[in-house]
Amino acid sequence: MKIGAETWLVLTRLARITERENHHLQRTAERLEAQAPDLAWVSSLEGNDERGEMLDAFVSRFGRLQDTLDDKLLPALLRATLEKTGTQLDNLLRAEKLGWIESVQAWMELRELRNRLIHEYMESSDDILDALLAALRGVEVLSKAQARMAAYLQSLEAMH
Amino acid sequence: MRLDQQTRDIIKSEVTRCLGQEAVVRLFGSRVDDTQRGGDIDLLIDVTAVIPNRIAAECRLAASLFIKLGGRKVDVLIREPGNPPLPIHEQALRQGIIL
Repeated sequence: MKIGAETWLVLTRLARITERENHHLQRTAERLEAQAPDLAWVSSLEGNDERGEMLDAFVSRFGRLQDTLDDKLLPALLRATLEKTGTQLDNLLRAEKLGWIESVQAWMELRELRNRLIHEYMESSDDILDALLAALRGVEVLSKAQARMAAYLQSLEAMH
Repeated sequence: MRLDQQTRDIIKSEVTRCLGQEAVVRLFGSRVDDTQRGGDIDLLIDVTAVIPNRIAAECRLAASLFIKLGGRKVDVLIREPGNPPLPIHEQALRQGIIL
């Protein structure tokens, strides 16, 4: 397989970016988990800037990593290996087959969760807490995908 | 309503699978407006019993419908009995069409 210099540049740059994004996400997730968020914690968000900013940082880092992985790195990796790229769903199904993501279902559930945490249609603290705890549990899904795609890229480099 | 029969059937059977036979599905938002084009599929689903983790159920259903409908974006809201209606629920009840 012949991979052009231009493609390598793009791939290695995206690999670096997602590694950094993953690292940042881990940091905020750990900070947030250390707070052991419960209903009282969520209810205090309105008047507590530090907590509010911590939640915002978590949600945006979560979203950024997921976006870079599935909008950028995944299609670039598929293109580099001469796979056909298609719609977001096509690419995710391919990633599932290749073992890069656990399941399309779990991946899309995390996307939904993130949308709920960004848009403030959640008016009750119960809902925000449920979404937050589920998103914290989901961090691992994103990290694993990042690690698997990075490992695949390294195996390509080794062959190259 | 801009939703073909096959799509409606997939939605209904998926809702039944996830939330039971009793669940009532309403389509609302841009898809009930025949003058518009495209757009997400907005669903409000009434269930007869309280669900342990509603948010997780909404995300699960939205994700499985995205897959079953070939990558079309679906927004899912679930309304449980006894909860005060949110403004978005009222809008959905006003303009929504039961599938």
